Amino acid sequence: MPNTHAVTQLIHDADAHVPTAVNRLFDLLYKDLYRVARGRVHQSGGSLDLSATSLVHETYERLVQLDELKVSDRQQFFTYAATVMRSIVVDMARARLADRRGGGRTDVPIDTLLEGRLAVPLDETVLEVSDALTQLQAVEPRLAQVVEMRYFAGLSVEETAIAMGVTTRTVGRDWLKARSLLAAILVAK
Amino acid sequence: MQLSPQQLRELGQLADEWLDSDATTRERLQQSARNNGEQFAHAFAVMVAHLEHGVADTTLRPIPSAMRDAALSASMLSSGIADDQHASESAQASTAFGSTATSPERAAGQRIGPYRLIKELGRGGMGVVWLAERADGQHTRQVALKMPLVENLNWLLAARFARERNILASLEHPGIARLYDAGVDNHHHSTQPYIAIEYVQGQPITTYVKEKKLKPEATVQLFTKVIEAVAHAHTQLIIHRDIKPSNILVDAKGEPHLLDFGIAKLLDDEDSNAVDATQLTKLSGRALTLDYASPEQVNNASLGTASDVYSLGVVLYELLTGTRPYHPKGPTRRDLEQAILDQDPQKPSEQLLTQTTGNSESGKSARRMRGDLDTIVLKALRKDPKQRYVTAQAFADDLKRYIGFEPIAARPQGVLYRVSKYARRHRFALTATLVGLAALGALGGYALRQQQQAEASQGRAQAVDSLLRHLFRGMSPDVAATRTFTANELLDRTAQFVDSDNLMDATSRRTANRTMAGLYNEIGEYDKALKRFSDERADALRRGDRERLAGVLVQLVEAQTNAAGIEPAKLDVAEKYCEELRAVIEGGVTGADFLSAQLSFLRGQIERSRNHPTVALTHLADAERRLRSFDSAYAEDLLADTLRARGYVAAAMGELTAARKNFGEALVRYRAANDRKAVAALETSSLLAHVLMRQGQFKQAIDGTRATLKESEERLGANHPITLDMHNTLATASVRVGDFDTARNAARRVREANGPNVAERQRVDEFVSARIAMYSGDTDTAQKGLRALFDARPQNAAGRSFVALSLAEALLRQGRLDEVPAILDTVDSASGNALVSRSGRVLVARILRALLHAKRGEIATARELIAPVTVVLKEDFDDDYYVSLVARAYEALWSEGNLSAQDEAQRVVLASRIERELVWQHGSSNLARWLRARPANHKWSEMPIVL
Repeated sequence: MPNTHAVTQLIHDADAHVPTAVNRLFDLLYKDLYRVARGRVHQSGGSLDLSATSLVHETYERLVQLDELKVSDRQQFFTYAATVMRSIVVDMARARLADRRGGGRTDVPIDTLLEGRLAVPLDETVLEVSDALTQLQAVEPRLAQVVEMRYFAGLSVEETAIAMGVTTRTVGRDWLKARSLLAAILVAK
Repeated sequence: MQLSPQQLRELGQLADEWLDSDATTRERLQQSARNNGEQFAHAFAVMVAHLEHGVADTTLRPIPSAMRDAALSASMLSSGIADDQHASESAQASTAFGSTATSPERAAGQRIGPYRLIKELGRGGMGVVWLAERADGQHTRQVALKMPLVENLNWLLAARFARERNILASLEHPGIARLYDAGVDNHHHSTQPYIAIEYVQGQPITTYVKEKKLKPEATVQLFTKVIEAVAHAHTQLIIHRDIKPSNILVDAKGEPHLLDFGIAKLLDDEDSNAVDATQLTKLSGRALTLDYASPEQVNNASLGTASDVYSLGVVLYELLTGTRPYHPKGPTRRDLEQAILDQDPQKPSEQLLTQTTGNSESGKSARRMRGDLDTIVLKALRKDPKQRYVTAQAFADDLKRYIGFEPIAARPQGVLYRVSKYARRHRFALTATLVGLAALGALGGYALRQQQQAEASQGRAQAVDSLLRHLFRGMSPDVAATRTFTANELLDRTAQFVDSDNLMDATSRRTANRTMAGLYNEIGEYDKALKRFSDERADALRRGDRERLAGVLVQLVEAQTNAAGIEPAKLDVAEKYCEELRAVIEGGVTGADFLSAQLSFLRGQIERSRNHPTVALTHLADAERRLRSFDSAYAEDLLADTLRARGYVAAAMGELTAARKNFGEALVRYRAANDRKAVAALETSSLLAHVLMRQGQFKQAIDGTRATLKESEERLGANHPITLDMHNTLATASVRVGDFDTARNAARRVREANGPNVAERQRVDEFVSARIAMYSGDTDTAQKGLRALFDARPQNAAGRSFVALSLAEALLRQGRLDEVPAILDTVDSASGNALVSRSGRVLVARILRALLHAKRGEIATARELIAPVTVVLKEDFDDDYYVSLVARAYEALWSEGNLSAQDEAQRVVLASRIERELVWQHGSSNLARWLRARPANHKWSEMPIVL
């Protein structure tokens, strides 16, 4: 359980460009979200089910229930949480890939293989997309943010619109544009 | 080359303009993009395709829901059937969170892509099949619409799906149900891939043949069409993997159609292990499928085209005889597996006779089958894939020859094989006499009295025993080897003492005798060991001490097998003692279970030495199964030895995945045994590294070798063969990942070590230097060095093939094409002429040959050579290695400017994948490592070919 006061405070600090506030906020959210994610993996017997309720929602709900987040904070919360979720998803994918590539594991139970089969392209895609997104970020930060929120954090169009303070139409168009550009980046050689 | 930020910015602006514009503006935009260079135009085209078709809901689906779907699909697949509750949960979950997931439930009338569903034809773990028809009025044709239960398709996956569809689309053959269409349905906010296949109305071939009462010739004629359909698929690199009567339908015109083609492959995506697992799951869901599975499928080994040949053989057997070739001992899956692995099928003609006595029609059929048809069917059903027909086409050709009364190509099993089979079948009769002999001594109270006496002098016996052991304990083979004379002398002196010492009682002398024999065996003095073991055996027989007899026999067989390395005839003697041991076990003896396990292990070792890998594997697998139920240190050690032996056999057969697994497990066990098995552990890890290298997993080979090298140096010494072998591995693997400094150092260590084989070790260094020169761009120096090595090596020397392959590669790089064939011929002649051999050497030789033809502009020949190689590579080798080799081959074809559209597409896919490795900052593949380490002026097409 994160120190919610700290979260709220850090969001404010980060907004006010207090040095290191963003890093500390990131660390806090990362630990909490990662812990919840790992718990899920454990509960579901090894398969990764991140979204029975989305992790971000879960953390968010808890903060709201504690009445720690005001409406204005919520927008910021989703923005940061989306970035954190991207790191978590990428780290998990990378860990699984490393696990698969590292030798030594000779006898893998069928379940793991099945999970692996379905997650293989996913893991590689996640890393590819994340790398492509870094390129996009440098040029079109707003598009990149939409991708972080929609793709990595699983937020709906509406939630993304609220968090970014734009209309759902804008999000829809940005989302389409972002994906088309990512596709172009990924096939470019 | 990735897009520059400037290019990306421009693309972003173009995207906006595109979305806001009309048709004429769009044309202008397209034109201007084209003027911006090929790469930009390509990126633009891809972007526009996405903007246009609004791949909206499929591209980059929110990860959390995609992950959930993956987990869900996995659970559906493993449960074998689509679970309604899961599905509805999934639907609920998707509404609750506004994700784009969907329930896979379908209803008649629903549209999937351009098709309207009519009725469900079937469902299984992999998906559902519906009868459907085109709903867009274009055609009225009815199709079988297959919808796999994989929902987490994003656009990258969709691209792979499309590639698989292309492969399937290339299967144009009257005997294969045609693929009409494939696509991804994006209605209903979901992603449902589908394939539309020709809807065949007919009955399973078994039913058809039975109902029409087809004669053997007519059956063979019909079945030849089926085999040719499979052969066609094999030429397109597709292995069916699930051939069975229910997948072969015969239509009203009497034409057979093969169904269910490549579904496993379609769902697979380049991970052969996963395919096997999927298959297994599928099999366990519907156990009957195993009836047509090949031994390698049962063993979960890697599959080649020969697996299909086997399954075809089973179906043909069933068509001819009305029964399947096995008679499992019981109803369980285990029994059937055992039967597939162990039972030799009866000849179809004999089978027919035994089951239908008195039926004249069957008698006639049986007579027709006798001889050639028996031979053909049994050849398809050989346990060892290499002994079957190499291709399905060869199978079909032989059947055609049979029908045309021409001489067939298949030969019955060799005389030796049949004799050994006979011996095994009649083992009981042969051994009965031996049992009688052994039992004689056991009669009366004699043995009991002996036993008591033995116990009385046990203390002293043990003292002598431990003294002897103590003398040699902790002495590594290295020390023992360099001091053979001393050890030998010491033993001889002790032997003298034991033989002449009158103070020693008989029991102690016997114990000492056995211990000495064991030690003689360990230091390679087999004759002395054998003499003493023989004496012990005679003594045990005389006294009727069955327990001791059994123990001595085990050691005797071990020593005989070891000695056979020098004198092969000793294997027959070893076999004889095996039979004796078996008789003792069957006659009843304490610890019979464990002795049985030992016996299987020993038989495995004998067959391995005889170069009968498949038979060896059967024995070793039996030993393994038995040993796993024991719980003692000795059993653990023997289990590890068994696994290592299995690894050896698998590696020799080119079954690298299996070899790796076996060596890996042996290693874990040796390590757990600590000092007791330290040398075996080191030896096994060096073997494992070799297997990893052969699989193209150079990084793992390097890591594994580094981890054990120090221990090997400390324990065995810097000059021990195992230590030097590890340096050798390190050198070879490091060249392959572009780490030339490490390679040079390791090679120098090999060269500068103290010990025998100076010339051989010097060659290792020269070889590594030559390869480094080649990959640094100095091909001329490399070629000269390799040529010198090649000429210096005596014929047939181990390692000559390796040098030959590198030399061939250097000559290709130099463009000295005419010299290449003669060099490659030496590799082929050293490796036998297996077409789809799994030996890395043979594969690489074929690729080099393909490149040679490509460089001469003979693209068709080149492609033909590469085709079977890619199948094997894909199945048994590291993915990177597969991509690099195949891409390399395509690149070479391409550089000669002579590619078909399909080749070109394949080349682009692989090339972009390799280029992405470069872009990918965290890339940890061998490919990425090589690309980073390579000399600046090198392209990836310069990557090394030879392992």
